[in-house]
Amino acid sequence: MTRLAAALMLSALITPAFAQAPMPPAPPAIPAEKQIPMDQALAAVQAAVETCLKLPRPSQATVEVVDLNNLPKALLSPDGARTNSFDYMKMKAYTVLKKNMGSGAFGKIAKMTPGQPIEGDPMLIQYGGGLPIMKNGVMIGAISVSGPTGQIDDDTCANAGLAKFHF
Amino acid sequence: MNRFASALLLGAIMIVPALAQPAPPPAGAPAAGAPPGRGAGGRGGFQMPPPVKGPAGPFDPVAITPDKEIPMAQALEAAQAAVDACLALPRKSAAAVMVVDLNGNVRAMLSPDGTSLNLFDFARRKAYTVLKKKMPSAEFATQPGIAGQPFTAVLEGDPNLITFGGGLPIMKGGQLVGALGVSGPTGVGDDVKCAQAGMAKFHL
Repeated sequence: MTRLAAALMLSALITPAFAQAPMPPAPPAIPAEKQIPMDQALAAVQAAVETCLKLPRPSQATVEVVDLNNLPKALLSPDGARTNSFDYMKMKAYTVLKKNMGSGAFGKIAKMTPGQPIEGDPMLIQYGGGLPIMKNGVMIGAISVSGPTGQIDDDTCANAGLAKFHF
Repeated sequence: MNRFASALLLGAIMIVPALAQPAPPPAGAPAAGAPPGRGAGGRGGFQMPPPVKGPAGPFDPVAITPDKEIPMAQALEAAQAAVDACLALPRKSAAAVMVVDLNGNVRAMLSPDGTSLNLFDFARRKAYTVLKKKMPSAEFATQPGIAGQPFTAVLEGDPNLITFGGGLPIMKGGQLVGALGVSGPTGVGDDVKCAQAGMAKFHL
């Protein structure tokens, strides 16, 4: 208990210094076995973008691969990508990381109230397009796709990107 | 217990400044600075960082007409060249690199193995500074009133501005069309070199 109290006091001392500094605290490092290699992330992102552009209804979808810290390992947006696609892309990646499942799968079980954010978290989203990147049965990141033609296309492209990972 | 205490400590450090700083909105800027959600989700005691949307903030969105477009192929080539240049340095810098358009939307971004979220945020702020100040981030550091400020100071009331070199403007026909931001663990000098290697790939 004294330890806890000491930690609380320490944090009270440190906080004023941080109030001046806009530097974000360092998040926990990701262990080596859960890191996503950049070359694979880039290959996946490129495959997803190309798949989306080659659809019957070409979709200028933004694509990212994030690790467990929500750090984009690779991100690519084709010419003509819309600004709101970026927002949805971020929300889908966040949903995968938080819920440990595809964003479309989460959409099927999410309890939604019209006009209210899901579970009070405005970053959660029920649309497909985000998929977990698995390694030996454990999630190590997410691939997230958002384009103007809808979530079914997004999921198709995300799967094309996912196929590029080999661990 | 130890773990719990450190989680609390981390939580206090992360949350309290956000509350302590009411973040005065810059004059004339739309109140769109805050990201839509800083969800309290995440793993263990770690609060998942808010998704980074690029340097978007106090800018009014502009239509990206063809004369302001950065082609994806060139954006990717530049990002890759900057990453490769940084990795080829004697001190092998794993630098986060991003190419953003005028709206702060990320056109291409790469983080090589070993990059941290902190570096990502610095790269983002460098690109943001270029877009807002319309000059390289290193040049912003030499401006009157800015030079000599401690690097932790909030400049001009905007916590996204940064004085570190590594952000360069992307020009097309004499006008700004975007920014390249590089941030690696080995320092500003290396960042500038890598950013220049990336800029060389643009032929707009």
